[in-house]
Amino acid sequence: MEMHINDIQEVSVVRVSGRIDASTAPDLEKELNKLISSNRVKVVINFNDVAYISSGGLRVLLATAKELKRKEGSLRLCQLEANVYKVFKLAGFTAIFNIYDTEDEALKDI
Amino acid sequence: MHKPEHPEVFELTVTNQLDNFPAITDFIIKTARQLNLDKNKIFDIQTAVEEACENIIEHAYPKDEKGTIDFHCEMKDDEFIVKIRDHGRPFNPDSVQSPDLEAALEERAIGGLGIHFMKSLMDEVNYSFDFEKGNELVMKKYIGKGGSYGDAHQ
Repeated sequence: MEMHINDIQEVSVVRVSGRIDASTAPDLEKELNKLISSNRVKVVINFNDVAYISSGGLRVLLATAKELKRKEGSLRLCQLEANVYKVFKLAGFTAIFNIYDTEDEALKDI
Repeated sequence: MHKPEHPEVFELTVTNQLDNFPAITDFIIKTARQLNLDKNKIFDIQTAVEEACENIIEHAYPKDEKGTIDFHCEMKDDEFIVKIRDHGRPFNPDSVQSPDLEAALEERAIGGLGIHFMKSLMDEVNYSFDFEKGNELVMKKYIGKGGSYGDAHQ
């Protein structure tokens, strides 16, 4: 898994590629925590190049969403590949996360 | 159509380390492709197997204890069967509480999702424990006769 973080004004866009599983989820968590602790609390995560996410990855997103809400920030997700979206739906996450087709749409609505 | 008396079996043994996930995924994908499964079913099986392995590594084996995970796959009567065995502590997936999928963000609990995925993506999930043989998880995916949630909601 790789991550690239691009700060666009007050929003941090995290572009993730590869697999988010039990072995890589802690790295994602670390990066997201770093953003939050430096007060970057408006976050867009772009999943365009993510082919797989496990429950371990979803746990990180849930913890991040809760923390951002506590800090009055916001989290937007975009460009989920069909199978990744299926896992989100199965977990009931499509009801609690704001998910967009494109990064532009996510940025406009944060 | 003539069916072979002894169906082809596919086996793999790895140690209980997270960095073996690519090897496990590779094994499942190659096996399923060899058995001509479509990519959606392969994804469902791969996800269920990985969730099972995460549980074994996290719950069955005490931290830092070395152990093995054995995989056995075969196709029998239009069912893809994967058996996963470990020699850690007894871990019954049914003992884990199901997550509340309707809860609001603040109330959503962190655990239980992996087992929910296994049960949703596979058609059968069976668990047994034997003091000599350890934990055995047998999951089945019905091929070519309807199927589980994963296929119905594309």
